[in-house]
Amino acid sequence: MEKSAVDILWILISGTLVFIMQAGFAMVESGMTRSKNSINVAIKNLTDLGISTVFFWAFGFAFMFGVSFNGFIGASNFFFTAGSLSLATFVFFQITFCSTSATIVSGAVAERMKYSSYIISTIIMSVIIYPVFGHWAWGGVLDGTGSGWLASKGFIDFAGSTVVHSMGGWVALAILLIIGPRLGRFTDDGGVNRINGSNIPIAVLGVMLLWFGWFGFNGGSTLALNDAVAGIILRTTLAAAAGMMGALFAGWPIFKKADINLLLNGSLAGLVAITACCHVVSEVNSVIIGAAGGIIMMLCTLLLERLKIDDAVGAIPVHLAAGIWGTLCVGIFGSLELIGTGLDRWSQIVIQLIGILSCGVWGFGVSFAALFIINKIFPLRISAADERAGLNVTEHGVTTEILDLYITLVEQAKTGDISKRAIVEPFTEVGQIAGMYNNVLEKLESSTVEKTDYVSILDNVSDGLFLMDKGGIISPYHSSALEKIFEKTEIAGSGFTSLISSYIDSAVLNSVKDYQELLFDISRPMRTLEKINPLREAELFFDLGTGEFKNKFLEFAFKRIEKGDSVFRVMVLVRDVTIEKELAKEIEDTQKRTSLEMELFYRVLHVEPGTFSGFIYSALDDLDRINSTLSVQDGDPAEKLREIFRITHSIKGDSDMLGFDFLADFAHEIEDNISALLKRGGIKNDDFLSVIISFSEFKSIMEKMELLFNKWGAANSDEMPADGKLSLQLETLVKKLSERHNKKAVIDCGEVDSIVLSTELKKAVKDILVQLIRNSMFHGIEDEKTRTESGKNPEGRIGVSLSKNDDTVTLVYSDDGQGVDEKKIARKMAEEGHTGEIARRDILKYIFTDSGSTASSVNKSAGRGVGLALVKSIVLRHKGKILVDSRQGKSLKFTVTLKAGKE
Amino acid sequence: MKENEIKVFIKVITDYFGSVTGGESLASMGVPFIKDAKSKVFSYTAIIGISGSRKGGIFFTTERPLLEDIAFHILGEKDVDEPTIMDLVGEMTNVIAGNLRETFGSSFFISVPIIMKGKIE
Repeated sequence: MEKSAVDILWILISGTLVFIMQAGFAMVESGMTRSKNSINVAIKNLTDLGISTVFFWAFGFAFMFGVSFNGFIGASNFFFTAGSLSLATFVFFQITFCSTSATIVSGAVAERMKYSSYIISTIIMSVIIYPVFGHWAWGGVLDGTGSGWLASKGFIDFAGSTVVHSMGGWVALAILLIIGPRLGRFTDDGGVNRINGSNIPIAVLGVMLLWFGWFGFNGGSTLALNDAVAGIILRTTLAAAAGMMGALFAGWPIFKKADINLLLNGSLAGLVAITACCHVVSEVNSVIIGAAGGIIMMLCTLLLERLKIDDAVGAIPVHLAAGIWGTLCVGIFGSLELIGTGLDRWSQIVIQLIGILSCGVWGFGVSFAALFIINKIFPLRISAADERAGLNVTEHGVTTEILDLYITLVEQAKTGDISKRAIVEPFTEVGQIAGMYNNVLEKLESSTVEKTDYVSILDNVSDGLFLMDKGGIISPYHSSALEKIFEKTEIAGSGFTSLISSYIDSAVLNSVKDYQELLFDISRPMRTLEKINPLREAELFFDLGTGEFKNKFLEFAFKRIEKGDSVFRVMVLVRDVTIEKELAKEIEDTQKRTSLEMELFYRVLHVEPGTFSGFIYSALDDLDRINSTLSVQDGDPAEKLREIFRITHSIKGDSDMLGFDFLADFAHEIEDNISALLKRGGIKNDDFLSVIISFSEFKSIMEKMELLFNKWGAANSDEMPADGKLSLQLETLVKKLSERHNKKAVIDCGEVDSIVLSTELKKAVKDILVQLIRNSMFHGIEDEKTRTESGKNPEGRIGVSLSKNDDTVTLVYSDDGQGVDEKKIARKMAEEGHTGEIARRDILKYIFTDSGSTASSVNKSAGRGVGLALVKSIVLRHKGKILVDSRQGKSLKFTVTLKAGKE
Repeated sequence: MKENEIKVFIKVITDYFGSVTGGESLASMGVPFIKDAKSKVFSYTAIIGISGSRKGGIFFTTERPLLEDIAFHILGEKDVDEPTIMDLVGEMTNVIAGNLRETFGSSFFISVPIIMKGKIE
């Protein structure tokens, strides 16, 4: 078959136009699938081009155009070497047809078939399936090779509606039935989800390229630039246009919109349909064939959806359905004359049908059987996880911007790290989405940062701050100061009342519970509630676990947070005002103490410091003696009371001497109490209670005075004499008693101040002297008038002298009063039941007993009958002796000896 | 503290000892005296802090024989180990403090007892 140069040029041009269709297929298929798979789909198109080219050249061409074996298969020219220009052109042209058929499959099975599986199916297709059927229809084109059996019977398929397109569709159908639909395409409840293409403009351009390439596909199939070519190309383009319109206008009422897929696939269906018959039909017919092709394509699409066969790009409706239709059209519309098979119309239609069926049986049968077995050994389909991730990355490790975004999203969902940003690929839709997503993230992150700010405020605010809900539950975010205030962690989630319950009076707690309910009752005005806040100034008691409590004064303020017509939360502010309260209390105490100190100070001001310290020392010592008397549990209670009485009397005397009237009065009250108890008799332990309470108070006053003195002492230590002068104290006492009893008296203390004594002895001497002076001033020394009448100096005289020898101290005390009134005492003794003659010795002993006083009434300085009894007890304690020299009407003299060291 | 309050206090204590030993009238108060720094501490002492309307503490100090007697009355045996004795001192003080709370009201807070063993010589 030698051809002219023009024919060769036309076939070469047509071949390159058919080749361009590969680009069209790549664009349509990748544009109509999701971007996560688009690279995989596109690369499959390139792959099948390469594989089919080599394998068709090596084997397919031989099977298709080799010397025929009974019209069923060619069997020569393997690894074909073109001997001539014409042959080379022919082989090139046929290779592009095989590649076209092979590439149809990739679109249908897109998005779930393994790349490696696809290579296998492409090899099977280009080595066996396509060439064998091709031999049947087109075999014998080369001289002396013999026709295929279908061609011999008059089967006409001009440019390959069946040979190229239907065959691709059958193989695609076989694979689809084996690998099944894409995930999520059909739901269990019978729903159909459309999976939209990622790049429709590219698909549109792809369709246009196909349309353009088809001029070579059909126009070149004449294998010569003859009279028919122009008409073929014209009808081809008319059919494409009609296919587009047919699908569009048939689909519009059904889908209620101009469906993109219908426009794209309608054009292609028109092209596929006209391919078989473009050389034998009229222009009008070509429009009808194209339009019908478009409608058939649409109907087939709907049928596949119903059958749940998932064709990703509509390859089966376009190539198989429209291909069948186009092949039939040869018989239906073709000019029998131009067909030139010599068959009548019906016979032609029948042989067309036989061709179509045999193509289906062979193409579908072989591919299904082969791939079904292969699928059992080597699954054709990818895993579900890979399908979800997309074949671009799982099959080729190639990412697209959408995958990058997807990965970023997955990463963020997993880690919660929102500081990551998506990669923004410029000039892409996904890039825009990523950009917007980043903006959303910015905002989200900044609001999260704001939250962090709030939390850091809560961490640093010094007051307790929290929200509680209607059930009184404390919300998760509260100030950390709250934990400090309640000395407790994990406060959030617990109830407010249970939080405070262990620190607060149960009566208060109950009113808090009621108050909490009122807070959430919006009908109660907050202003009123503020007034009845039971925790406005609350005192809480924290058990330290050391047998001690810590008191905290807390101020609680409540604020409603309203939402609509109800109280959503209540904000609680807790302030720890313990320090303020303590300061206030301290100030109050200080003021109180100061006023007491001022009072004491006023009284003490004129007392010589040494005297004052001596007084404090002796009074505290006396109080200790009282307490130790009591702490001895056995013994006669009445005797104990009498002992206490004596000691109290001593304190009273001292207080009196120094002019501490309030202390003297206090002691006097205690004495009254004790006297009453003694008089009543039947002393029980309970009776001591009132007495010890008084002593406890007395003691605390004395301790305060001691504190006061120590302060002064510290301040004035340089100016203070080592000790108070006893003579001075005694003089003061005499002076004072003179005024009280309206008597005149002076005391001569001799050298008392110069004798150095131990503290105990000094106290003993002083106590004795105080009592003796009190005795003299009350009993002994007469008033001025009496003294004048008896020829005495109106001013009484008291003399004191003190001497020390080793451990013995001798005190001589005398006054020029009336002496012991022996008659009066004898009378009193008789009253108390003394019978018989009362010796003078007994009388003088009697004056040292508790009841020995002869005073007619009791007052602060005398009448208790305790003064001389106290002297006796002191002397006994110091293992001493008393000599009494009483001269009736003239004088009274006591000589007391004391031993250093108590008994 | 006022005298009648002290009396309530004493009554709670004597009632407690009376009821534990089985004879209400058996327990009575000895001669009262003021506790001060010089007061003796016996071998076992329990302290309970008081806060609220009143502040201070309840202090119970005793020797082992008394506790053994009480243990006999409460637990039925005299021969008790040291931890039990310690617990007993704390528990006795706690019961007394609790009873006082009934008289002095809910604002009379009592702490957990602190138990000490040994005297200060």
